[in-house]
Amino acid sequence: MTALDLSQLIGRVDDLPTLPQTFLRITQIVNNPRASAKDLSAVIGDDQVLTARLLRLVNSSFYGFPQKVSTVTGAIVLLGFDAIRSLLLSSSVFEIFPGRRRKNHKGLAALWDHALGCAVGTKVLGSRLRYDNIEELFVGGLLHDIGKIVEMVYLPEAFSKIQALIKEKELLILDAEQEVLGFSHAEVGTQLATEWKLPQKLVRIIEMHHLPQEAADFSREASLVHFSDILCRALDIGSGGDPWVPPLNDFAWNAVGLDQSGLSSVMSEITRGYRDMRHVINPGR
Amino acid sequence: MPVELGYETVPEFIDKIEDFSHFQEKAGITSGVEHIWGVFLKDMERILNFDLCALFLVNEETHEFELYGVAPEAMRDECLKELDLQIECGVFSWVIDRRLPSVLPSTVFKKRTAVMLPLCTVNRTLGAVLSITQLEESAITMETLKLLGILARQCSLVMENAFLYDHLRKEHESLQKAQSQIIQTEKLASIGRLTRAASHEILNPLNIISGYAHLLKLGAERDSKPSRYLAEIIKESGRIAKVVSGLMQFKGSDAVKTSSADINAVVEKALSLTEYAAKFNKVAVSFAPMPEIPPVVGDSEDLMQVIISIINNSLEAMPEGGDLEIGIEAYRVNEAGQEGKGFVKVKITDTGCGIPEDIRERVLEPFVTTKGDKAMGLGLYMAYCVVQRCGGTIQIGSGPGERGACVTLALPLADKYGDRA
Repeated sequence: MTALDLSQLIGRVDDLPTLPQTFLRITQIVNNPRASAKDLSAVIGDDQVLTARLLRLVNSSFYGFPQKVSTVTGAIVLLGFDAIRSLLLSSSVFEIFPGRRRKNHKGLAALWDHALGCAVGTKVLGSRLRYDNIEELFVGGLLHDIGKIVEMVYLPEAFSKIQALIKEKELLILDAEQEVLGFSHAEVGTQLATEWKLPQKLVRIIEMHHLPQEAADFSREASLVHFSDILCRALDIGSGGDPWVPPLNDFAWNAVGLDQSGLSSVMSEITRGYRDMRHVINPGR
Repeated sequence: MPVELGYETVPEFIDKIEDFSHFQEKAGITSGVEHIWGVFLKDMERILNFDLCALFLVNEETHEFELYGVAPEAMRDECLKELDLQIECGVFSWVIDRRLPSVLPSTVFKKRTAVMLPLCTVNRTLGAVLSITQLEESAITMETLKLLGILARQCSLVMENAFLYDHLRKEHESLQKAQSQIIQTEKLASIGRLTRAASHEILNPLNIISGYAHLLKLGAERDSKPSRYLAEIIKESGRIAKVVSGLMQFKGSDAVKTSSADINAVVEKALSLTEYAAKFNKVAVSFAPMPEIPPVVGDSEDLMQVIISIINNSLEAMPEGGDLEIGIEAYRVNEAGQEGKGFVKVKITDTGCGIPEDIRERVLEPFVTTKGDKAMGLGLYMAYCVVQRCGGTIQIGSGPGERGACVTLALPLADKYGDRA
């Protein structure tokens, strides 16, 4: 197969998954500083599935809030507008990709499992560093490999070839992608995130999760995602598309600033958090 | 609200953020919590119409949240109740952990909203602000939440800096105090060395002088002028010898470190020996022995002399009557605040004329006295030497309300007790 042009792929716009309409309206509201909790909850409340998912997430172990939050308004003022947007994105992103290729269902689920594990890990690391917006980190972890999902769903032949190449030559997925497609999942993900008009921070995280030192203003966030990605590979949570643990970036290791004992407690926290979140979010099934 | 309107509100929003960024100019690091809280309340009023706004600060030692101030003060009780209920249901600690502003229904005030703002920096949780507003949950805007967050952050930074500055200032002060104490100790020690050396050098020739004077006097005619002169020489030599041997009396000996004394008994004995003089001066003496106090380092006799000489000073300062109070306390922590060997403080306070400011620094030095020619000024110097030899300290200050004098002896506990005082 000849190398495919990235813009060619993204050019098939009508084919590309889009974010739900509700999410776009939510983004518009969140961008307006004067919008009230009522305005936002009215939009979310229109979508019963979204409302149910949001409340389930808010009441889950993700937050461990000691009381039950029963209204969307309550959730908004308790957690803040940004957090709600990130949570909505987190809970709806799994629905965006239709399971069009039944036979690849298992592979897709494994990718999502990895994404969820990485999201939990990024959140765990972020909380340790007392990072403020952990919901955004969570989404960042969740979406970092979105490019792989696009490849799997929209370029199934190329993706199979990549998989074969990984097995045959024992390549990292990044190198296999270069060989088959001429571009990487990070680039595909970046294009998609831009298309979706996601915040700059998320776009950069997706683009630079393999090279966090080059993510400029967001190198810290990218480092957390990179580190969590590797931890999840080591913990064998889901699948990152190849069986290898990619090399840990020095810059990221320093940015996270963990020591040996911190590392083991982080790893057990991730395992626990992942198990809890799977019941709440249920990726790919 | 149409979404397009949002774009017009953005510049206004930015203006407000800019305003709040001036927080640090309104309250610098040298301002106390009170000032910072005042600035915070003014800014807070611009974000939210509140019925009540309270600041809780984390107590450094107990790690508990303590109410610092409430506006208005009249709602103090309701405010404490609200906090208690929020703590009880676990919400408060959740909000503190999350480190972001949170809005919840109030538990105490029906149909009102509680706004909780954790005050924290990356390193430290300083406290929290609890505010009650009539604004409904659903009417709270993104702007309000963001501004609350920014204000809380600004306030936390200023507060942390102010705390750090205050801490540094205190450290600096205690260091300065310790340094001046070291200088004082050094000074007294060198005076001690000098006097001992000088005394020795004086006594030898003095003995020779007075010896020859005696011999000459034996050969001189009785009641003649030379005989009278020689008698004068012998008498004055004797006086010099007395003063000088007085100085030599306290030369250091380490033997004292192994002896121990019951401080209650020492004080009681000293009081019984000065009882008559106290009665004569119409001074009311009060002393409450501290039960079960372990022995201190030092020789009973020496320590008693120290206490007697301090009591005598006090009595002489109160010729018209007054009060003399002796208190004993046991401590485990030393002056610098470090935990160490325990020690006992004996505090002797009087209501007399006190020690003039200008010589207070020097009263421990030899030949410094407030009693004019009547006294040699060796009492407190001797006391200093004894206490110093026991490894203790002596502090001279004024009594309560800057009246009278207060002498504090700190004596270390004898070795085998020191560690578990």
